[in-house]
Amino acid sequence: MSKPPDLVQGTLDMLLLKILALEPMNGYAISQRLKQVSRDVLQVSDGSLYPALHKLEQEGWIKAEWKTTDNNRRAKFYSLTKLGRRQLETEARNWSRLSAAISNVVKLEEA
Amino acid sequence: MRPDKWIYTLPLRLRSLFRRRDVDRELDEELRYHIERKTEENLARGMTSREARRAALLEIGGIERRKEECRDTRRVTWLQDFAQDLRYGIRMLRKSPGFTAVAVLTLALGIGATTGLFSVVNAVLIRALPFRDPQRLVALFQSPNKSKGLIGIAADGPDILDWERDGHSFSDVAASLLDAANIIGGRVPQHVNGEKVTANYFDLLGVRASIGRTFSRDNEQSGQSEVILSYALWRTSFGGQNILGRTIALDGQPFTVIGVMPALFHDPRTWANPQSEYWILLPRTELAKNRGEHMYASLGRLAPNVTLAQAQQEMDLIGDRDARAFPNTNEGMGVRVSPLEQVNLQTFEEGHFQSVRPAILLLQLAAGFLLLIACANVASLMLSKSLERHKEFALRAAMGAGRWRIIRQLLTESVLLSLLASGVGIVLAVWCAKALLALAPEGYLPPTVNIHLDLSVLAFALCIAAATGISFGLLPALRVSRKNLNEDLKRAILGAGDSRSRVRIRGALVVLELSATFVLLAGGGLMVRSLASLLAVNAGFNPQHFFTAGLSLPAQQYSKPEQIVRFFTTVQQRVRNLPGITDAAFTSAPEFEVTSSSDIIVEGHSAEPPGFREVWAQICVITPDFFRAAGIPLLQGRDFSRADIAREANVAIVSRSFAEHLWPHQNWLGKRVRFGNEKVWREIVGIVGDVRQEGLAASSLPEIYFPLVAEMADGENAMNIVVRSAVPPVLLTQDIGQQVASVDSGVPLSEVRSGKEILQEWSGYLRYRTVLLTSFALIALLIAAIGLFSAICYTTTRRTHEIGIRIALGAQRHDVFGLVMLQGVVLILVGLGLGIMSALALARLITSFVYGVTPSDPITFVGVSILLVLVALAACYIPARRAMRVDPMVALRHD
Repeated sequence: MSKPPDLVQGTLDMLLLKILALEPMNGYAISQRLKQVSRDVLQVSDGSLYPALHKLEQEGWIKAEWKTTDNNRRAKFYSLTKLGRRQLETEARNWSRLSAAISNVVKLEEA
Repeated sequence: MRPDKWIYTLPLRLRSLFRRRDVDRELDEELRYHIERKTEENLARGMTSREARRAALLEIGGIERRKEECRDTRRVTWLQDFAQDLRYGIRMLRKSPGFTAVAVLTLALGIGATTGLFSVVNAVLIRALPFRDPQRLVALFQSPNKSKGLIGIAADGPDILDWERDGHSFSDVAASLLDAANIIGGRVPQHVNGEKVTANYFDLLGVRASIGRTFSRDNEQSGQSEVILSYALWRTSFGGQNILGRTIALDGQPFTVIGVMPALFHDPRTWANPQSEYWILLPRTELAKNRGEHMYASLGRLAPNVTLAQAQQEMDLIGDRDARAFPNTNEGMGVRVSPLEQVNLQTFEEGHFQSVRPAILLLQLAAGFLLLIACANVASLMLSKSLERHKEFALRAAMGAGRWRIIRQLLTESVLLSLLASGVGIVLAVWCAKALLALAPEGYLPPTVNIHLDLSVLAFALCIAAATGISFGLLPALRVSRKNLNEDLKRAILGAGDSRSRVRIRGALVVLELSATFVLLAGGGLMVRSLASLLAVNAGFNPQHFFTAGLSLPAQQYSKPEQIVRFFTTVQQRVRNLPGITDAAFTSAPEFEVTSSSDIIVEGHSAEPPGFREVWAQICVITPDFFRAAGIPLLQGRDFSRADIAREANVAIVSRSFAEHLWPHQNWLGKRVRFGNEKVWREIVGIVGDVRQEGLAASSLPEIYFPLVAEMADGENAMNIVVRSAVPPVLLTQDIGQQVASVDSGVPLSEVRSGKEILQEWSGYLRYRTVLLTSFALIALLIAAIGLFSAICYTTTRRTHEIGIRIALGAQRHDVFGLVMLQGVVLILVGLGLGIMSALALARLITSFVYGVTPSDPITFVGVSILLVLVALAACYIPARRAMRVDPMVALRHD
């Protein structure tokens, strides 16, 4: 499974959980949203998206449902579970701590 | 958190497992949806429809791989893979039925033989005897220091009482005496074997009756009219009906049935004796009589915390004390204490006690060899098979299958094969165990009721199956899935044949098979020659047109010796007068086996004190004409005559070994002998040839014969008639029976045997072992021949391309033939050489089993080598001929 090089391990999971926390979506919509929200900075290849989604499903953090879209096509919609919500909170917390620590180190003045 | 997770994931996992196709389809659809939307997006951006689609696909980056990645996340893949391997394996096996059949059959034969034998081993060696604390039970014998070749003899009654009274090493001592009687009260009157046992016998063994009770120690008086029946007798003769309290007649005397023994109970002593069907009481008063007459078997239970060595020491002291107190009867008589478990395993064979343990282990070793050969065969088959498929494996590896995956695939196939084979093998094992039991001579193995295939045997079979599965699955698997795929693919296309190392391994396997087969064949051959040597031995009597049967007179009607003498002499006369009968006589030794022995003192002049010599001799009581009827040569002097009988002369006839033993080259006629505990001197009037009383391989024991006069006839209620006839004796059985009945209709003939049957019994043990070992060897030969055949076949097929080139370049047909045969011949020679060396090395193991030949007998080795070479050459012949007929045009296109 390949991840984009600038994403730390596991952050992709957190991003997906967050996006799905707002509303249930299918895989294509998720990839659009990711690009949109990060203003094209985060490059998540479509290929790595689906294995990640499936892994989240296997962990029990998201669940899937087949629905018909507006264009009368069938697509698999993912949504967050209760478990997923809790996992999201945990990961979000960890992320703030991590990013704060990194910022602190970066802000150190050179001697 | 865990349980919540399972609520979501479990249905998911189950679905992935059982609804795989649906799940896959959904995955397909999901990705397709994405691609469509992406394509639309690209179209909207202005690309052409083809470019749009291509861009979308590129972004996804290899649909199949993504799908595989998604599938990987499902975490049930290992199970799926296994199922896939299984299905694939089954399909592969079905595609080549010949290979599958040969492999399964070969392996099944190996597993079946080993497991069948193991279940017998299990019952004989490993399972404990059905008594309480059997390791504390001992058998007690007396051993005369002057006896030749005998290790232990039956004890005499008073000595047993002494042991019980004074032997502090034992918590209990019991005695038993073999008995036989005509039973009336069941469905039909029949003659059965039984035992007279002391009251504490069953308590000592720790066995209770399954119905009713056993004898009570306190009440010996009333106990004398009680009888206990065996389970088998109760079922067959009394229909399993309520029997307690019923009266039955044993030899005309009434007995009350007080109990029935459990079905699994069997005699604690060697099962060489026929199993007892009834037990009656042996009262102490009877035991106390007849010091010096050795007829009782004795058992003891070691007291707590007493070791065998301590018990033996105490018995030695008691034996010495008795020898001093009773010099007439007990001088030189020691006591032997043997663990019952050892005695139980012994057969009385060829003159001495021999445990069956080595023989059974030898057979187990042979079966192990067979299994080894079977495994090697299947390994080589699997190797060949997978070499054919290496193109397939190379492609799979190129497509991304890991080495481990391919190994797993092959392993699954081979485990599948071995499970199939063990299924067939278990069926064969049951059949094999039944055959082993059916062929066994009487008394060689324990009563069949205890032997059956049980769980431990099943576990053993499955372990063997798993071990063979892994061993022969791994070898080809490791060879095939190498990294060097490029080489493999190229080689496969060019048809250059197999790499050197592979051919060498397969060759090594075939050589291993051939040498192991040689060892087995050599073993079988040695046994066959032993059997032939044994049968060539002069038994001492003439078995042609010879007939013997037992007659047992009921004790109550024939209590006086004169009655006994009258009965037997009358019957002898009447039978002799029958047309077709040449001679008839009676003997106390059934089928020449000796039942009693004694100290015999010989009068004579000797430099050494005290002026006479002693010999321990077997005793036989006979009527006149016995030697003529039996075909035993009269060497010197004369036979007993009617005159001797009439005047009750004190005469005796001795066997040659009796005479030679003491004073060789002396004139024996006229010398006088007497029993050790008597004063009456008897004159030797004749010397006869030896009979091999203890089997063909043992030397003859000194024997002394006495005439059937009233003095000797006391207690001789059971005698055997021996008849020599001009026609095959079986035709005369009825007539003889009629004559006996004309004297007394209540006396049936029992144990009717012809001379030929007796000889067969005497060589029975050796014949049994020979048949078994030879069977294993021949099966091994078959398997090894198949192994060689298939190895040459595969090799030749793979070299078809090369052969085509050779023919095209000018090689003649017979050159091709020679080429293929040469391959085979090299393997055969190496296998033969290795086999000869191994057989010589293992020769030590078989020394105790062969007779009349050395374990490295050259004739056997040469004969077996010829057999092996001929069979192996035949196996190579067919593929060589096929190679000859190869059409070069077809061959060159073959790959």
